[in-house]
Amino acid sequence: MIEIRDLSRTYGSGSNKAHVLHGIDMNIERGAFTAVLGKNGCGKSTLVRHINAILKPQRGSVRVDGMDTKDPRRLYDIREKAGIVFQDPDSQSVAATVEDDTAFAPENLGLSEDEISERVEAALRAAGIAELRKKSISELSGGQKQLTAVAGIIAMRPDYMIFDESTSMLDPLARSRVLECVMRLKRELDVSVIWITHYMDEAAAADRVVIINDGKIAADGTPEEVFSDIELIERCGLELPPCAQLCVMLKNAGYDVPRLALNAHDCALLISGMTAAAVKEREGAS
Amino acid sequence: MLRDITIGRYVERSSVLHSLDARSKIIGALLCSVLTLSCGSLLSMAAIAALTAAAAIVSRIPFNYILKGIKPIRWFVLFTAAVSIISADGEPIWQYGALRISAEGISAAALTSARLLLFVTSASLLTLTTPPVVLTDGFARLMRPLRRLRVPTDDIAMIISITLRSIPAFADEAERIMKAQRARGADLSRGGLITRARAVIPVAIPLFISVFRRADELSLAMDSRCYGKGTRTPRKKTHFGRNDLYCLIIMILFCGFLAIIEFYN
Repeated sequence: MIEIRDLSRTYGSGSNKAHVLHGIDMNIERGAFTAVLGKNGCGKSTLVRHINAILKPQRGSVRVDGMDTKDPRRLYDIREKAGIVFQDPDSQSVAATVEDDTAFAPENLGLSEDEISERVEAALRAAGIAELRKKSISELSGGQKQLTAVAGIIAMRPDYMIFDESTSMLDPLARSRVLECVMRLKRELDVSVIWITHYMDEAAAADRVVIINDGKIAADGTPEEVFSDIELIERCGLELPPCAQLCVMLKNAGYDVPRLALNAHDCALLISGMTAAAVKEREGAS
Repeated sequence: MLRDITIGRYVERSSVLHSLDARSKIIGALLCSVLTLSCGSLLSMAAIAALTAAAAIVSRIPFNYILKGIKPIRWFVLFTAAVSIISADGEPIWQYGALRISAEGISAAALTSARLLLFVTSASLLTLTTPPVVLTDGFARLMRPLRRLRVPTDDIAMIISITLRSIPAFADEAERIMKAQRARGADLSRGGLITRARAVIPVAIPLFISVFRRADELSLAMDSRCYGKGTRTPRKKTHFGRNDLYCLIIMILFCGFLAIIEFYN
């Protein structure tokens, strides 16, 4: 479990001092898919960089499976447990080929050559890019580059995977491929996923949604709970997932919408249910 | 044009040059660079050019691809050649006012151009035939004796490898920025020297910002993948084999051959 207690951080000093995080308290359970939302500069990336011990808490504490991120002796154990995939697919690769880049983390861990080869093979298969192993990274598409970064993290065998707006620079098809891959990894490898995003439809697929606003937690709950508070969503500079927006539009147009649908499948079920009820009502009336 | 840069790019091929130990190739490239800079006769340059061409053929990388790497420096080569021609002494074979061309000037221009071209080609051949991780391992192993003096050899090797690999990436970035500036009406290819120098500023500043941002992101990505934990175990290790021995013997014999040429010139 990741335990974050009273986490605060400021950047700059004097009149330029900016409070990025204010006393954040939260736990992230093993096996959960947690989406973190918030407008630009609200402190999402700063928060997750504390989990990976890239940043050390100025106040408060962050513990990953009981290990304090301030403890320098546990630094690499924490980084091995909680890997991050960053935003820009072009700035994360260290090696020239997919296979070599995937091997970078196991090489850093000082594993034996056999163990490295085994982990690279498993990571490439898990990320679904085994056929690209010999390809030069410069020849890959943005989505394939991000999947290579994912494989590079899987090769560390982490328990927590953090995605810091990792789909924001991808086209819709590549975005859905990366998200599908992450969902599959969560299911098959039982890793916890912490997913920072600006796409509400991605957040709707999570088990839990946390909204950060002005360095504080503004909402924390299931997607249904969080997205049902439309006023809060707007106040935090966000918007509802597209399907939920459609439900709100239908409601405003006078239709009897019983609840918000957060994804296309749920939306289809809701509308077909509403249509069936309307047909039944008309038949009853005639 | 900047996209044509070949230094730092790696091209996968099954060739003798690709299979050589990275240390042999690094020593070979370094020797080649030292020889091109130190030899003073055109005959020596022709010999180095022949050796470089032989290495290019053995690498099985298309000749056109290797020559493309020279394209970005062609103006620089022409400029240095022109300076060499004008500034050389000797009996003029053509004169127009203060401008005069002598046989010595033409010879000096040919020598300077050959030096630049061979220097870039040998460095390109090293990176074109060696994956960055193997190159890092090669540099680290060559510098291993310095560890006793507490020199961080692994880090230095990683820096050299990343620097070489970043050259084409930054060339691509510069090309992108130039296209973006041109799309907004910037004219980067007209005017006098000062106008052109001024036109570089809108390209240089975003390029520097991009370079620092990328360096910062790469260092974060490396940190988060446990770089610095301890001694790395490179997955791909090349071994010093018979071909490497032949390669070194050829280089030593070649150095001797050049020494004889230089002595009699």
